[in-house]
Amino acid sequence: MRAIIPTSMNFRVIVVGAGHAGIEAALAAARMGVPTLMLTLNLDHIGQMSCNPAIGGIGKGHLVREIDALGGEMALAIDETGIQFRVLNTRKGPAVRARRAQADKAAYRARMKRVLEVTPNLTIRQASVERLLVEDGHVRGVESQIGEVFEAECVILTTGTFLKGLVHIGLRNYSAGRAGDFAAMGLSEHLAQLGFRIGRLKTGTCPRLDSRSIDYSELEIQPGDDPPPPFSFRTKRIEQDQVACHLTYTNARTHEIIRGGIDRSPMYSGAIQSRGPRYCPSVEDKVMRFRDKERHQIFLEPEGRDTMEVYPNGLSTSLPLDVQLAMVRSIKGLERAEIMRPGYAIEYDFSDPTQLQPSLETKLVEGLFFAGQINGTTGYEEAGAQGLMAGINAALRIRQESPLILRRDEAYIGVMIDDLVTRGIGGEPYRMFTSRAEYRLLLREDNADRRLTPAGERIGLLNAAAGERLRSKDERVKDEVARLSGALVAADDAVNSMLLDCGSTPIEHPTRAFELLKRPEVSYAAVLAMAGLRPGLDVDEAAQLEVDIKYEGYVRRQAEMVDRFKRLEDAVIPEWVDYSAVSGLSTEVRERLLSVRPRSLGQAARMPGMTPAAISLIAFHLKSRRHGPASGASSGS
Amino acid sequence: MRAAHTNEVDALMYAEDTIVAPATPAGKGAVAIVRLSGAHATQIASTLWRSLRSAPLRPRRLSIGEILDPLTGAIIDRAMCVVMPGPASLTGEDVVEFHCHGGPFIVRRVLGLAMSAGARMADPGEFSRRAFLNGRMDLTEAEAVADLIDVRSESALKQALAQLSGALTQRVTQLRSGIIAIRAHLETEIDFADEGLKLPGRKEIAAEIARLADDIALLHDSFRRGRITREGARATIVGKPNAGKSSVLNLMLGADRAIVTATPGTTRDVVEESVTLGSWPLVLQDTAGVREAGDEVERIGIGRTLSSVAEADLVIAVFDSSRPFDDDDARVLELCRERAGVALLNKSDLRPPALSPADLLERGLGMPIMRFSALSAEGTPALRDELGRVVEALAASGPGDDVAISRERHRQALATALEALERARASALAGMPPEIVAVDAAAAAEALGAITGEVGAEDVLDAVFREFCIGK
Repeated sequence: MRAIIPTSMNFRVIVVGAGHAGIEAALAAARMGVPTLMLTLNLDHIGQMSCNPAIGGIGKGHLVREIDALGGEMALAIDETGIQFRVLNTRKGPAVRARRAQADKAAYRARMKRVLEVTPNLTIRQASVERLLVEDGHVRGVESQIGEVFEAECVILTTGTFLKGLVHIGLRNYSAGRAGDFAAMGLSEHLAQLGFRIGRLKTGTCPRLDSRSIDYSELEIQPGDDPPPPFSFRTKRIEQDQVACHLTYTNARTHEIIRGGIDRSPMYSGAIQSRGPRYCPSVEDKVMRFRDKERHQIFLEPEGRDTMEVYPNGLSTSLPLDVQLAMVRSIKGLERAEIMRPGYAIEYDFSDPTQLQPSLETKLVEGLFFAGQINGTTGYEEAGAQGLMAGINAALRIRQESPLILRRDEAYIGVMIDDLVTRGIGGEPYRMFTSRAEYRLLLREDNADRRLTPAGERIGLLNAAAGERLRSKDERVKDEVARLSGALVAADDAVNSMLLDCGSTPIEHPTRAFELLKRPEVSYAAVLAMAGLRPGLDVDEAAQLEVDIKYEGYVRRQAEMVDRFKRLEDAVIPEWVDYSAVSGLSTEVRERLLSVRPRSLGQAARMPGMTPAAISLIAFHLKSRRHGPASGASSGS
Repeated sequence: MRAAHTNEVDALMYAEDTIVAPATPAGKGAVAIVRLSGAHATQIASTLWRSLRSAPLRPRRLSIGEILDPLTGAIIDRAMCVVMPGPASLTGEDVVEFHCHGGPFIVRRVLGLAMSAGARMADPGEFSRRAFLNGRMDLTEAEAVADLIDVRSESALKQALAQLSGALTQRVTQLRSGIIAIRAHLETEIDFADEGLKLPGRKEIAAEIARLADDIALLHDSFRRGRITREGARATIVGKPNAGKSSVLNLMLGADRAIVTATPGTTRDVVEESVTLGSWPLVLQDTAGVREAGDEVERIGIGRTLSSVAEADLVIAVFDSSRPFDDDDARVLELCRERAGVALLNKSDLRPPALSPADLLERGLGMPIMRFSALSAEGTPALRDELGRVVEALAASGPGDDVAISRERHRQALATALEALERARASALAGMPPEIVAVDAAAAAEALGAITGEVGAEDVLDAVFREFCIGK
């Protein structure tokens, strides 16, 4: 077949895929001034939320705030199109509070498509990419199903679940990227031919119900927060009305129906071999594994304002449709529910992410980047964060600047990418949890801007206004500390009863507001009430103040840990290191080092199975090469 | 939180520690060498060292002076010291050697002081390993230490387990699952707040932490037991001047080792001898008399007595039954408080007795009391029997019969874990949010990692998904 080369186009970065990773990648590269082409299988499905209609959550909300603090799009989009906003973990400390919002899926898609279409330097085309053009280990462009050739120096693959996607419902299965979309059948074979290690994962989603067939009258209602908390540091306030979600539960009858149909489950009959995520199990998994649990929560989440489709969060399933319907109808409020789309499981190919550099560029092919589910992750937020970093680093590569690599002490994004490229995913789709971050107290939603906005400004994704906003926020927090240090709280009955209400102890003498704020159980709002002061800070600023004051000792300890950690991150392992010349390493360790090629002693130490002895052997090897006599073996560059 | 990672980091830091160990075989040679190696060797050594005529330490020159306790200023020993700066040293690092008078007591004191000043006890073969890694040994020599490298390149867990008895392995596994469970409960509360799960409350978490801390404390305390089995128990003989301490020592030894005169304060140094009680070795230390110090020399002697008592496993308190209870006896009694040991009413041959067992009991002495006569040797077999019983009881204390840790590094890890757990418990009870309690729980897991193998984020998540039904 003769190649068709669209000559009028001169691109430097090509993004394959227009999901949550592809969008951030394309926008970042284009906004950094690099002519960018986005190719997608279906222009109508840009920014599709294939699973639940929500953004954020614990750990994930942190990622969205970080995307925003660097100049990404996800937070702005959900602020504009969200239909319900909440903060989770409000009863815990500020470090683990996280935002979550319900999305209007169609509005979110439309908004993302509009932004992509109006962004300068960015072109969008519908095409199915079948293969990459690679010369001398460097990517040159891509070729589509119908023989179109697009050339560029960098290619970012964000293929989601589309690589050889296989949908299962009951014992039936068919090829699809997700229900309703074609799969990309040729690309993963091609990647394997290029030498990439390809694996297979499984995930799934819920049936969608018709809202008109649900009886909400007896169900628990779950409203949004008032005022709704915006995700973006750039959003002043959320203007739109919020809608409510509802809560119902499975019951003994539901579980009986599920057990009765389990022989026709693709997971339990052996039709699906690959592992699904344990934190996002199907309802049949929950029932089979936790037999003692009498009921499971089901959140009924609207998929948008202008649709009747409802997402029953908690009912992910790949049971046959008849069992799905019976099980749904056994649940309170859903007795007469109609299924509009069946739930299903999907298997898809991914590429082992230890084949990536921390910039998300592949080690095998220069100029080729992977982001999102192709790296074995799950979640819109995880995908968006990787897409953003891949887009930034592709643009930096074009500009011949060094890549932006966030450390584990700087961002959840840094934790995630370091986990992926250093340890891989360990058998199930990788999702962000705050427990993955060892410096959790430092990585908060409230200070994402303080951590990342200077970098966003430096690379040109954010304008000066962002930096200005950050500086004035710091000023306000400082002023507030001064104000609270000066304000005296009277030791009267009113104050003491407020203190008791907080679960605190009364005061005997007039006390400075600042001192009261040190008590973990006394919130900023409560201190203001006791001191009779008007609020001087918004929610984020208050969180920052509270962390600084209440947990000062803990924050300091984590900062000290970071100092130690950085010493090893700064111990760079040069490209020329020859592991065969490091005496004392076992073959297994040597092979692992050759495959991952860690950039620093710190990263090497985090590799699975790495031993302290191996690390010290490498350290001493490097030291002797630097200072001692070079003994024959390879050095150079 | 990933303790795994920080644990590995610490492991590397561990390789950068300054280490200390005796370089001469344990025993009673005339001279004992204590060797330090590492970046801080010189600095640590200089805090313990005072050169004669304050001459500064010069590289590769033996200097004469005194080893001091930097806290009390007490002189430990008259000794020689030599500094060998890296890389042209045995290990390739800065090396300092103290050549002191032989005798386990002095060696232990010098090791202890070096460790309080920041050094760590060297692992077996660690000096050789550093020498190899720093290119101070050629290939042939290197092959000789290759075994050591191999040992070190096994995972921390395997390495630890290989050294441990079956019962200890079980206990370590218990600690590991204990700390993982605590972390899993805290992490579930944080990461899966909206799952509608039934989680342990603050008080339950605190109780869980306390239970684990108890287990760790038992193992920590077994260090003494392990040492008693290996090296013998340490007994310190205390009493006011001229109560007959040295005579007791001589009777136990059956020889005139200590100088015995009727002049109070004759024993100004710590005299150390070993005897065997049945199957137990017992190291006996005779000390300067306990009394209000007169001159400088005596003050030093009494200072040594106090540190000898602090290090001892048991105390032999000698009272003069021919004289009434006085202030010096009261000081002795104070040293015996909450200690294992035996009290002797010496000079029971002199009549009438001015001090009876009842006099000691009513002042709160909690040890068995025996009448004794150093002059007639009456009571010596009974004393030996009683000491045998005390040592046996000490050796049997702690968790189970064959469970004991033997490495100082493990003991340190357990002590660090205990401190972290105490902080975690306190913050749980104070109603601190879970991520704050989790900071200390993670620190405890990290410390325990030296014994249990690393406890990483994946281990904690595994436990979460095993125990709880996660996923709406």
